[in-house]
Amino acid sequence: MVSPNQKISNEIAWNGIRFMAPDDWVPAEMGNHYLMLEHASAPILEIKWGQIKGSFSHTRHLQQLSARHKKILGKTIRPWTLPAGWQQALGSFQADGFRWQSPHFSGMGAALYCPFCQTATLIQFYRNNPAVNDTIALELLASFQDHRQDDQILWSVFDIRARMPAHFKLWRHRFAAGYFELKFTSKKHTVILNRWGPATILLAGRDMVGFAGSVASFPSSAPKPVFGEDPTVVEWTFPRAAGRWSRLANRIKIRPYLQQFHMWHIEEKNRILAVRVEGRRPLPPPVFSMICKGFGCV
Amino acid sequence: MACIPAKGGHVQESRLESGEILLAYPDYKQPWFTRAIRRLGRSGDSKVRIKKLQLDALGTSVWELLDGRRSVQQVIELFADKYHLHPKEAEVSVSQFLRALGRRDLIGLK
Repeated sequence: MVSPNQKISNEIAWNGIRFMAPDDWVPAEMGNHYLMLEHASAPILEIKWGQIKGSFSHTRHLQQLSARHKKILGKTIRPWTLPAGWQQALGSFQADGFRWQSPHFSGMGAALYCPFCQTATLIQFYRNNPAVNDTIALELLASFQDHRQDDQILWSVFDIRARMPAHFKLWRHRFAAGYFELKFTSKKHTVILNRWGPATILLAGRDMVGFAGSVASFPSSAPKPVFGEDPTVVEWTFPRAAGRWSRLANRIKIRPYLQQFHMWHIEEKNRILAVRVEGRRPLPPPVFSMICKGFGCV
Repeated sequence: MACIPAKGGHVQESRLESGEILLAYPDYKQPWFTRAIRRLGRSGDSKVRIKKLQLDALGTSVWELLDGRRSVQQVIELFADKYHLHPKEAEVSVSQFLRALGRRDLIGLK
């Protein structure tokens, strides 16, 4: 059982939404617009969200949800009047509550609509999980946000934090033991954020340049990656072709190729992070630098 | 998670120069053709084969934490602390590793 005074100090941010959650609530399933957290290997919080075109009706949305869930999952969903605490915590949203019951689980949640960014969100707590209590639920809801004022999107799960320009869309993600990958695409570029650990094991018998050579395919014709200002950083940029014909040849390559690579070792965290950019042209250096600075480990 | 993993008594371990551990254990399973020869009345090779499994650095760390007293949860916590791993990451990697050892009958859970 979790104490009602448990701190919620872990920021979770995923594809536009963000909120604070207890440290031991960890993501178990992630989709582009879906997040499920678990506690002690049992589901505890589920969030779905998406942009709405046109007007949003809570009643219609809940009816559709109810019909779909009853058919697929055997869940019974009923409208629920949100308590005053919930309404206060969700002050900036148009919110309606619901309760649901299935053979194995029960829960309660709210359908939110943000008129500013026109995002509808379904957020629900698994009531049968003893780690859910009113204090935590209220704090979490009060911290929930679905948009930022700047043109950036935060990504914060497990121990990685990243800030990406909003025009980069998540294409693929992978969270395996020792290896995390977030892959984003825009019209012209692909940006891949990687996190490896534990670094002490991965760097045994080789240095950062050797490790970089094993994880990224650098063109054989180009110079090898080099250490940056200190030996914990490796940098590489696709060399700009000297001749006009070489530049033209690079531009008409069918597949985009590695343009920029920045890898660094965070010794105190025992992690290695890297940012890779693929495309036909490099990212503008300020944007690349901003992505590198925004990517870190907590 | 509260189960206590214990090394099998039939497993012999030796340390390599690299510091990694090499496990040697008898494999009582017979290949299908040996069983077929035995059924046909021929003696076949009745010697027990010894299989070897070399653990990598992380596997060696987990193996060293198995003392027959620590629970799976405690092993995960110690492993996460040692390598500064996220608890979930340590849980996944340790449980996968223990499952792989269990499939080979190298450990038991009590």
